[in-house]
Amino acid sequence: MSKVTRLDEGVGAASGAHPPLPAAAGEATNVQAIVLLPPESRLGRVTGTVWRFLLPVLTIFALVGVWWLAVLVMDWPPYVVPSPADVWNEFLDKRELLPEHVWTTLGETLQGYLLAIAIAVPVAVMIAYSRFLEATIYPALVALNAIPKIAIAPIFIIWMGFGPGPKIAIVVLICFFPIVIATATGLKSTPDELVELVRSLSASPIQQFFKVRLPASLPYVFVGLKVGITLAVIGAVVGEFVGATEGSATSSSPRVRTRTPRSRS
Amino acid sequence: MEPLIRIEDVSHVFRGGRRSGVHALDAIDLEIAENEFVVLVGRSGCGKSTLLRIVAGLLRATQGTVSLADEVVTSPRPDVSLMFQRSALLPWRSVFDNVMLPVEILKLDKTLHRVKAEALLRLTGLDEFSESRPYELSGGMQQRVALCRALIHDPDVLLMDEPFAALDALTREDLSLELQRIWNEHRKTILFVTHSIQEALLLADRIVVMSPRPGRIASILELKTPRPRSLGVDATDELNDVSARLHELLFARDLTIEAEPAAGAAAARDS
Repeated sequence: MSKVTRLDEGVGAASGAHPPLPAAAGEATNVQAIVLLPPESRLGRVTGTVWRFLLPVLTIFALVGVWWLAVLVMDWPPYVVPSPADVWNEFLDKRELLPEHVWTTLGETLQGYLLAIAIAVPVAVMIAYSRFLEATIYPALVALNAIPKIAIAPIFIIWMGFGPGPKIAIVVLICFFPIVIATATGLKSTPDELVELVRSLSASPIQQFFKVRLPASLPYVFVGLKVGITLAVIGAVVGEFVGATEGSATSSSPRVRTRTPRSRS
Repeated sequence: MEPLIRIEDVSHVFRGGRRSGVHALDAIDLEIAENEFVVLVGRSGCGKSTLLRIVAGLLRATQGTVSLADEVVTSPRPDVSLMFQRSALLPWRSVFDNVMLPVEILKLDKTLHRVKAEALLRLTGLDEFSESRPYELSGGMQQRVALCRALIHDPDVLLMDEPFAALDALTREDLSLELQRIWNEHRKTILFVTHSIQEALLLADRIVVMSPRPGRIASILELKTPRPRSLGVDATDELNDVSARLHELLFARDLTIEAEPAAGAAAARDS
């Protein structure tokens, strides 16, 4: 509601079509809100929708404009800060390179992400159901998560070579943690009354899990998955930075690539 | 007649957790006949809900036994249904599927119970909402759904833990009257916990008044007024008398019971 009002206020203020009515000080905000909503509510909703899409686009254009202006005014050399036009031309120039590399990175990201889910969810279930595992696995996971993944990446390459293996491993490692934490938290925060309800029906642990605990945890699980997918992309790019012959990160980091240790084979 | 539920010398002391060491119940003796409507009233913390959970088999009493149809209750039973202050509906299921939950868990015949679920929803005036989600319903309607769910597998005993306490006063009265009507059609043995004197008067065959710390039975009042009952100007003399007595018992507790707890409890049990 407040969102709609705010957007409509913007429209009203811009066109200046609805001057606020004079009103008692206490009611002023209320009256304004009512007056500024366009009388034709359907039109109001349409403008609202348009604005919702238009505003982010305009923001991006504005930011690119600031960038361009800064390049023009500051006169930085193009190899330090290229102008948006330079970037666009470069993109058009090398566009045939993109699909193949993007495809590689996307594949690594998705494979790693799915593998991470496949490992993380059962681990989370174990943590949620067993005090012992919570006391043993959980601290180890936290410690593991504290290690910067980029520091481990070269080791994976030594172990697994230059194929997609180490990249997928890094993706798994980087997005595994938030998924485990979110899922375990979700499984442990089933509302008491729901647990008591299924207990009073003598539900088996399996029934309890599938009928109540798992569905109740889904909002948490999806938060973990959302965080996980963005990290998965980062993981794939990190993996490629450290050692790859294809993928979207290779073309932007040739020197990083040559510096990494070659495998013995 | 042989009582259906027999609570014998039940005491409970919480061990571990937030309430560790709290002496919740002390030597409770109570017998409930089949199809009797017993209401437990008392101030907060007098162990009403604890007693209910022990009868439900969700909690083991530290001392004493509860038996149901001559079997000692050690774990939850399918012939006992529970209803809570919060509706405890599953938000991702429709009203109808919520009502069917016990049928799924107890693996009962689905086709048969689908018809029953429809009938129950009609009985509570919810037939139009069977495909709605719980969050689309008002608090009172949610509790009606919870009642349908508690009745779907036709339990012998219904345990209700302040089922209407979270509702506004008008809805609350509405639902008490409705429960009275439903109980008249589907007789069950009901143990009903409440803070509300009105609900107790409207619904109970017997009112068990409890006193806190530790929870004891302070008094048991019997109501003979025929149903359907109503309060206010239509109330019978008996209802008015019992109401006065309840106020006395609940509000004068500091004077009578805490001064001489043993004598008070004994006198109450004798009465």
